[in-house]
This record gives sequence, C-alpha cells and structure tokens, in this order.
Amino acid sequence: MNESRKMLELENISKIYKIGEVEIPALRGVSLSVKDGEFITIMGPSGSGKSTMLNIMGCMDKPTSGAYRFKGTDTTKLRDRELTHIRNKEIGFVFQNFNLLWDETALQNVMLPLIYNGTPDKRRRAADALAEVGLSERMAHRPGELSGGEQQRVAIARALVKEPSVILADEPTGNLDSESGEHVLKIFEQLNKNGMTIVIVTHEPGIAQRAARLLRFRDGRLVTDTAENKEERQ
Amino acid sequence: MKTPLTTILSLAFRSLRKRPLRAFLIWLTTAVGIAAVISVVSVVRGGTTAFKHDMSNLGIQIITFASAGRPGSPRTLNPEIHERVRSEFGGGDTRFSFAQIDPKKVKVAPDGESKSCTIVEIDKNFLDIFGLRLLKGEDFQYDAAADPDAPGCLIDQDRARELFGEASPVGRQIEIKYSFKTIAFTVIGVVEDPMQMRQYINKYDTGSLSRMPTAQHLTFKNIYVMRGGYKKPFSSSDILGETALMFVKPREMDDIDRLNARISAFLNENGVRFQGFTMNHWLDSLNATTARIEENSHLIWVIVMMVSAVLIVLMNYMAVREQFREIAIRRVEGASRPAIIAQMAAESLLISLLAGVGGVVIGVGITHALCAWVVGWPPYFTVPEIVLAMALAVLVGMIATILPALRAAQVDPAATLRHE
Repeated sequence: MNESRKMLELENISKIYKIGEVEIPALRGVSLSVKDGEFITIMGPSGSGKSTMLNIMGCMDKPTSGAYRFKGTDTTKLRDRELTHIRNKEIGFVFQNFNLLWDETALQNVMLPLIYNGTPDKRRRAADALAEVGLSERMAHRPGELSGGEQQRVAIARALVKEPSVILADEPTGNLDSESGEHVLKIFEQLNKNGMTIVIVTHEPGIAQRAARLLRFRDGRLVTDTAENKEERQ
Repeated sequence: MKTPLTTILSLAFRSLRKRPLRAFLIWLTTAVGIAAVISVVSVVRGGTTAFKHDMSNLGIQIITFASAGRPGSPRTLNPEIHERVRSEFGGGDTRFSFAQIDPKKVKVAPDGESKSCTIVEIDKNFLDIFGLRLLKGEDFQYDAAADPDAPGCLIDQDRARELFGEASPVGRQIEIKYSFKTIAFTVIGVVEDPMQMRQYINKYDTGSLSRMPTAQHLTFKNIYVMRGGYKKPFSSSDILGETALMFVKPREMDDIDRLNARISAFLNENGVRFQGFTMNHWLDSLNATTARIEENSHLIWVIVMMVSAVLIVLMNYMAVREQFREIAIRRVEGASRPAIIAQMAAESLLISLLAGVGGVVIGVGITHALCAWVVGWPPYFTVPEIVLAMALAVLVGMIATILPALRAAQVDPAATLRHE
C-alpha cells in the first residue's frame, strides 16, 4: 500500500460515552485506513458503532483513546478551531435526514460552508454545485418545497461546494424512495469515478455491493474489512 | 479560520428577520426597561429641580426675623425699630422689607364664595426681595399718593385662579372681612406664585413645608396689600405701624449668617426677642434629601435593567434551545465557536441599538405624559443620561447574551444531530 495515498488513518480507536456513572463503549479498538479515491460502505446493526466511527472520521467527535490522522495530521491533538477548519474545507457531510436549514433556500443552504471561510463568489459556486446535482431550477426553493430526493441532492451539493477531500454519508438513502435513492447513489458513484473519496454508512446490502470496500461493525468492533480480506487472499 | 465581520453581521440580521417575534420581544423588553429608566429619572429629577427652584423663590439668601415666642417678648416690631435697624445695617445693597400677615376671609365682590386667605401687608421692597414677578396689571404706586378710600391689592396667580377662574382678575373687586368691617379692594395686578410646586406638595405633604422658615410665616395663596395704603379698622398694630416680620436680604451670600447674628444681637440689646431664620440649613437638608431621591432613582435603573437582563437571558436561552439543530448544522459546516458567539452578540447589538433608540423615544413620551397628566411639574432630561441609557441598553443586551451565546457555542454537533 502506498502510504502517501492514505487519507484517513485510525489506530486503535475507542469511544466511550458516559451517561452519569454508566460508561457505554461505542467503539473498541478499531483500526483502519481509507485511501484517496476509495468508495467504502460501513454496515452493521444499530448500536454497532458505525455512526460514531463516521463522526470521528468527520472530526465532529473525538475518540476517547487511539489516534486518528486526517491526511497525516493527528486530529486528536487539534483544537476545536482547527477541527472546524477541516470540516469546513476537507469533509463533505450527507445525513439521512438531510440536515438542511429549514428556512433557507436551497442556494443559501449550499452556500453555508462558504459563508464561514470568506470564500469569494459564493453564489456562483453554490449555483454550480446545485447544477451538478440537477437542481438548477430549484435553487430558490426552501427544503419544505422540495421532495426528499431533492433535499438530499441539496445536501450533496452543500457537501460538494467546498470541494472536499472526502464525503461522509450517514445512511443517505435511508429516508428516500428507491428511485430517489438510486439517483443519489448514482451521484456518489459518479463523484467517486471523478476521484472523490466516499464513505457511506448504510443498512442496505444493495448499496454495500456497489462499493469497492465494505466495513462491518459489531459491538463497537470492526469485524470485517473486505480490503483486508482481499489483501489476505492476495 | 476567521469569519469576516460583514458575514457575522449579515448572519445576525438574517437570523433576526427569520425570528421576528423573538427579536420583537427582546427589543420590547429592553426598550421598556430603558423607557422606564428614563421616565423615572426624568420625572424625579424634574420634580426635585422644580422643587429646588421654588425653594429658592421662597427666600434663599433672605433672613426672616420673627418673634422668638418667649413669654413677655414683643410679637411685633414697631416703626422705631424698623428705622434703627435700617440705619444700623442698611448700607450698600442690603435691603429690608417689613410685612404684616393676617389670615382673613376673602370673597369676590359682590356675592362670591368666602375663602380663607392670608393677607400680607407689604412694602415696596417685598416683591423685589422675593423675586416675585408681576404677571398682569401693575404694582403698587408707592411713590404716588395712595388713595386709602379705594385701595388696591395684588393677588398671587394660584389664588386668582381659585377666586376668578381663568378670567382676568385685574380690575375686579374682592372683599376682605376684618373684625368689625369689610373692606373692598380692587385687584390691580397678579403676582407670580412663589411656589409652582405647592399644589403637589400640599397634596402630598403640607407638614414638611411648615418646617421652612419662610413658609412658617408666609403661608401661601396670598393677597398682598400695601402697608398704610388703606384705612384699616382699629387695632393697636395698625395705629403703631408694627409688623410681625422683617426680611433682610444681605449684599452677599457670605454675609448672611454673620448679618443674622449681628441683627439678632442688636434686637436683643434693644429688648426685642426676635429670632432670625435663614434658609441655608434648610436648603442643605433639602439638597441632601433631593440628592438621595435622585440616587435612589438610579437604584431603579439597576433594578429595571436587571429585570430586563434576566428576561433577555431567558428569551435567548429559549431561542438557543430552539436552534440547537441549526447551530449543530452550522458547526458541522464550518461555524467555529467564536463565530457562533459573535453572531449572537451581533444579533444582541442590533436589537439593543434599536431598543435603545426605541426606549428613548418611548421614555421621553411617557415622561411628558406623566408630567402633563399625573405629576404636573416639567420633566428634566439630560443628554448624557439619555446617551447613558442607550449605552446601558447595549451593555445589558450584551451581558444578557453572554451565557446563552456560550451555551450555543457548546452545542455538540454530533450528539445534537444524532438525537435529531
């Protein structure tokens, strides 16, 4: 494996949530790496730790122990401001429930990441991103005026507009009908073909089959990594 | 990563527009607080200022000599003493006035209602010493021969209003009832009321005025007649021209206590147990009291603004709780904690500035309304205090935003969106 192509590296990551005196382990010593340009799906039953893993990968959460390097930078040593910068510049997020700002238009939602870093020409870039997902005609609509599939495409456009290094999607088709889900997946596939690294958490085996690599989680542990299997087979 | 200031202001403005009810409630809370502060302070200060003004009209820098009230001592000064005091102490600009007061029944001729009234027999120095302006008509013609058969009188404006309503009293006749005879006087002029405030003070506290040296002797609602200017029915003081009061206005303020002591000693040496009262001590006490009232009105500032601040904190907290999801999304997409705090601070700044302006407008309006319809005295505004009130609005708004803003900045995006 070419070390320079490693985008995400997680070493012995553990995450324990404390609720009062009770400690709930969400991740137990997970190690994996994601290379530039990979298309990965993460599967596992509810509570297996897959969303927690995605949050840590997205610098939204910090591991209790272990090391997480994003493009070679150990994020566990970074302050909130630097983690915010990585989220703003490097990582595109797509959520199951879209997480759009309800009282902003599609265009304003897509402009959101650009607002905080003073990017010039925000409006044009946001319009381009919406055009890329086929929503040029819906820019002035608010989320409530869009279908679920369209809302998710707005969310994808918001992820794309910052030209991220990786897109992290947490069950992006979970709330969509099959046609809209297929549309969204095709966008992800096209982005991956163009070189974008994509990590998708999903419950749907059909999606997992379309990815080059599958990670299976159970009880906070990584139990299957098809890349390792391939490497082992090789 | 620094978010540009223009972006922060733009976000704050958009946020306010998106939640007009919350923005309006915070604006209202702050504006009402500022308005209350301005009203209370301006009304209180208006009152104390008018009160001080009236007090000064009642004889600041005047020594009032009256009987010490000891057994056996004379209760009046005879004309001989008048002259001796004048010649002994009357150099330079020191002025004297000798007055006699009589409570009498007065009625508007021919068949008006009788009213109790104080008749003050004055000489030509009286109005000048007390600084009382003639509002209508003319003063007594001291230098011309007065016609004792057709005597004139001056009347103070408040008494004139009581007896004659809004009609001009000049030229009208009043009848003063003496023990054995009723004498008709023609009103020749209206004199400024020495105490604009007395109607309010009388309403609330007549007792406090009785402690005032001048007020002890010059009860209000006066009718002024000229000493020796009419034929009085028989009484010993009438024959002898004696007066119960002597007013002395010294040349300079510094002379007042020394002059008081000297004249008192002189009167004592001549067997007259009269005592001189000055306003200085009383005015010191008055100033201390009004200063305390004004200080206490500033306490109201603090209380009102604290209440406003608490309400704003609560509203901001509720707003933050309602916006957890939005804040989490913004945090995920690149809003730093300082950017979240700055946005809330900018929102607060915008509302506070508008509330400051609104509060001043409302406060000035309420103050004028209170002064016109409730208390009656004129308001007293000071520009520095109005500016201070606006600054206070901003300060309170900002302080009330600190805790909610810090709470907003602590929103954990992962946890918040997971629970969504």
